[in-house]
Amino acid sequence: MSSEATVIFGASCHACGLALPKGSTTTFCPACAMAAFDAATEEDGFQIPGYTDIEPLSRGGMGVVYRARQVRPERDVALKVLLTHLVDDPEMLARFQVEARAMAALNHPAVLPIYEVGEIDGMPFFSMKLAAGGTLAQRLEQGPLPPREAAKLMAGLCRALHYAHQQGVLHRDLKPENFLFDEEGRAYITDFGLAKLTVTAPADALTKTDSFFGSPHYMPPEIASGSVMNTGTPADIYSMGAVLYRCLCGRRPFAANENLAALLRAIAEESAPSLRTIVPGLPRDLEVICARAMERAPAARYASAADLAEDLERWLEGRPIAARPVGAIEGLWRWARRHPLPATLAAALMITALTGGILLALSYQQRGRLLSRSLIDQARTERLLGAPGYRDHALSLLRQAAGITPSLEIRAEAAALLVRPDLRAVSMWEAGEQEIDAVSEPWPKFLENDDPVTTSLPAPGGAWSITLHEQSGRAAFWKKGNPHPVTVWNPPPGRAISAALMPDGRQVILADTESSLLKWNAATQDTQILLPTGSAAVTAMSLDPSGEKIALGLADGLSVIASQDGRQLWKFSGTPVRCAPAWTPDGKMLVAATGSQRGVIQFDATSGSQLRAIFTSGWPERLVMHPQGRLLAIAQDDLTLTLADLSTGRIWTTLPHAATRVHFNAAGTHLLTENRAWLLQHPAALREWESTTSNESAETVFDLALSPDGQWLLTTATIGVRIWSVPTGRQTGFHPAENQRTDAPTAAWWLDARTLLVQVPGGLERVTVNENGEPEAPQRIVRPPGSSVSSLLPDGSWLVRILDDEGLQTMERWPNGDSAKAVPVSDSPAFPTADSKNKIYPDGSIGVVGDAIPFRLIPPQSATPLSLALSKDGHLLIALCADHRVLAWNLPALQSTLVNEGFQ
Amino acid sequence: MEFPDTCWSVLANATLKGGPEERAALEKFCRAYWNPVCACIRARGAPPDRVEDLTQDFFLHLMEKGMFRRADQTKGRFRTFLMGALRYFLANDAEYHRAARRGGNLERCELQDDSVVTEVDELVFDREWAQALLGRALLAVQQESCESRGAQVWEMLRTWLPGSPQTLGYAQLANAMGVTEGGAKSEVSRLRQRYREALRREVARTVSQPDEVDSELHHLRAALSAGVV
Repeated sequence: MSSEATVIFGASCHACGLALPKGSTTTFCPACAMAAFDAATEEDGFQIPGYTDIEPLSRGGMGVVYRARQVRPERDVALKVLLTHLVDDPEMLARFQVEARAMAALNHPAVLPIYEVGEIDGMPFFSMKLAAGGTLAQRLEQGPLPPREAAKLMAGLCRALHYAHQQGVLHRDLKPENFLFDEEGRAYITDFGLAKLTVTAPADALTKTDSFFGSPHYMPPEIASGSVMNTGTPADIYSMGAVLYRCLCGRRPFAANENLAALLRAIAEESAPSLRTIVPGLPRDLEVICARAMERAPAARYASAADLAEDLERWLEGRPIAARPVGAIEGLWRWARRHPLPATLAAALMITALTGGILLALSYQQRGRLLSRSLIDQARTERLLGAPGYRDHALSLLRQAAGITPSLEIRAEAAALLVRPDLRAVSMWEAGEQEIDAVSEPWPKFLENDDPVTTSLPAPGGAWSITLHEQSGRAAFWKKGNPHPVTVWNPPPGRAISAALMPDGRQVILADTESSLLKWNAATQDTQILLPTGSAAVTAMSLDPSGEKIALGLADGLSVIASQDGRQLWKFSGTPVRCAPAWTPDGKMLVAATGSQRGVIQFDATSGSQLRAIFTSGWPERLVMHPQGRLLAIAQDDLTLTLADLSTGRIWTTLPHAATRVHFNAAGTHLLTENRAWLLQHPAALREWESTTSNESAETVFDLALSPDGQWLLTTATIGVRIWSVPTGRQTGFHPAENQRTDAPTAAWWLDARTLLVQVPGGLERVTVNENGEPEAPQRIVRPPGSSVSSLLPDGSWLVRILDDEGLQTMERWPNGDSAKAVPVSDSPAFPTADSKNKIYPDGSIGVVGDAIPFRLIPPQSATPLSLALSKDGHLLIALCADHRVLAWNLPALQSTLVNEGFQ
Repeated sequence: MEFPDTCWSVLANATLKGGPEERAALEKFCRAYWNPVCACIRARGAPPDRVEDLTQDFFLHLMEKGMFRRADQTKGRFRTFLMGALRYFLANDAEYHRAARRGGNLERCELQDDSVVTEVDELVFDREWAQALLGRALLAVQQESCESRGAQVWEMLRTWLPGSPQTLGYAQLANAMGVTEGGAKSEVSRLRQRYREALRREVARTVSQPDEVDSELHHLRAALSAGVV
């Protein structure tokens, strides 16, 4: 506001400016104040221009409805005015406008027509047809409707709802109170106060009320459980089913609870009582129709309100209905029921097509847009939730959306999915028949009646096996065909034996027997004692793939010994080891569940130095290494199974699945447990580079730069400079250069393909990188006081900022870094950024301007890109993230994967 | 300048969340209703040096107790709610100070007995309330007029507001505005219309449904005329 419009509090009337009586505390003189109120007051009370005889009819959460007589044309109307206290709430104001727009957009005999939109005293209102016959709720107060009447009524209303859906309008608050009758008994849908204009709403227009809307009694379970933020037509179809339910039996599907939370829980977790238990004589088909509309899984409901209407009409005409009793379709929808996510409008579409239902495609442009929008939103939700199996499902949604209208948004979403890992549930046979043996019941099952087998080590060929037993902690040696064990080892009291098979397939290492650690030859039955009796208790054990090293889990840490003679190679002391450690196939890395936090630690198997920690949700109970050593399966005590990437320490996915036996097939394509199997879906075209320096949470990351030959990448952070090999995607070296100032970044430039210039406040160094990408001893550069390198110019000269004693700043150019030849520069040229073409949007996505179509890359959720570089050949887009992760997208590979997956 | 929001939902959020946005809304709110509350407290016989403190305490009390959350926003008028809350606050405050004095550790003010002054203080409050609403309506009109016509023209125009003694003729106004006399007349008429609408709008924000605007205007008009006596 300009200063001239400020009311100055003083002793004069703010209206007329005349002096107020001395000592007056008011701001207006009485004459002005009273005259203003007189002028503002309507003599005849509340008026809306153009209407007479205004009487309040009802009041809802958002507006007051008046009955009024419109002057021209002369007719009785209903006027809905926004409640006064909501007028300053932009969201409620927007909703009111959406309602008016929604109703105005719908020209259907069963949608109340809207006549006029206006404003009174700053409050918006609209007038509509007056339906004077009361609401369906009022009718239902007298009891249920006769079945035929209910079916006819709901069929008509479903037709109107379907029409609204076709126009892109979701109602979202369907309940008996919102169905009105006129004096002739015609029914209308009204109150689009929570409607959503899906066609016009922006993609991310999720408002606070989107997450919770509608009247709880008619709310679908996916909304009641809060698992869905944004729904489509299935939610409306459920509500119609719930209204039909009430019409048929007179009761709401879920009884009123004393509190809302209990009611929502009931809706989310239970099914409504079967209609025929309430009304025994009700036609079975009507019950089936109602149950189908109210299916708990959205995808299992009618695909459209028109389908529901049609089935009701079929029943009215005595024809067979399309819905089948729930039991028959249950198997078909099993996946959808198990799946915690909303089954979707798209799934509904697809399933309808599959089951020979009507094809809903492309009859109206608007419907297409509505469906497409809904499909994309659902695919995005699946991606964000990331529940196992999301990738295939979300891709199929996107494929359908692209089938309606292909768009760059769909491609970007598809690309975001394809670069992420996932698991696809498959039949166990797909993993390979012989693989099932590895996870099936061990042979034999028991030792002496009821001492179950915990681990079974069958020899290659299956001629014999060693079993470990739960209750006694014993180990037993069995020969094929012999019902009794040949040899049994006993542990010291209260302990249990662990065992591992040597790579030769003939020798077994047994730990914690009465004679402690021993090597036993199954062929010769010779025993070699590796560690003598009285050694520390071994809780877990595993052999490295070469059979040369044994990792022992002890009560106080992890010990690696030589299998030849029991000599200790290294030890990690501290916390107990919770289960058998896992070795990578090359024997270079050992992963053990130790440490004070839930998770595992990766060790260098030779030196015992810690490489990385991977945190999990529960305490690990079993570790299983992927045959290629890239992935680790971790079964945990919270009944989950986690798959982790060992090269980066990232979690691939966590399955809500309790497994006692976990196994990768020999080809490494599948993961199996005793009763399930999954296909591993590796991320396509995106690679997180493997770092060897542990990420320090306190470090601040600055920038990246490619070497002139494009072979090496440097990244800078407060702790120093990392060097990465571009071809291998691995960190090769680290040059520590501590920067304790937060106001000045650590900077580094490539002087040539092998030489770095590293600058931290107070220091400037020249660092040579050897052929392995390792930095060599730095060479300190003496520079004049107050000077700091600002950038390197293409001609090899340095642009240097000089700050003199008086704080004045000047710029100089040092040809080839020689300060003796300094030339003053008047203006600082633009700092050449690593990659100025491509850019990072505020939401963290990356805009790629390539030869191909402009493209948006959506990074994994946890990554925040800070800076970009494009490899010399233009194939790799490299992003440095805030946590010092380096992500590289292979653009041509991504492009071809997209094409292969059907996204042109 | 934006006008203070009287919107219940803003205030309810403010007490719940207290983010910067809500705090700003609250500040505006306090400023808007400062005068009615102040006047009412003064009328209750608070010593002059305590009036401002008590006013501030009252607004703090509203926020701390989350009064807006507990109030039924859809029923009743905002003015009635605020008056009730103020009365309750002052009664408790008086009680508190009496107790404090019995304890002998505090020498502060003692307000007049609640029952004696009920009608008078309500009248004072309503009158100030009317003035506050009018002040905001005027500010809206003034801002609009200053922006479109300039401050000088506004100074002339305001003398045509209802109740103001007429000191200028249309010819003078037309001259200053550089329009015809007819043009000046329609400008005045438009100004009066805007003023009327602005006041109705301010009142509308303090009632629960639109048909209560006129009865509220009546009520406040009555309070103003009672104040004249």
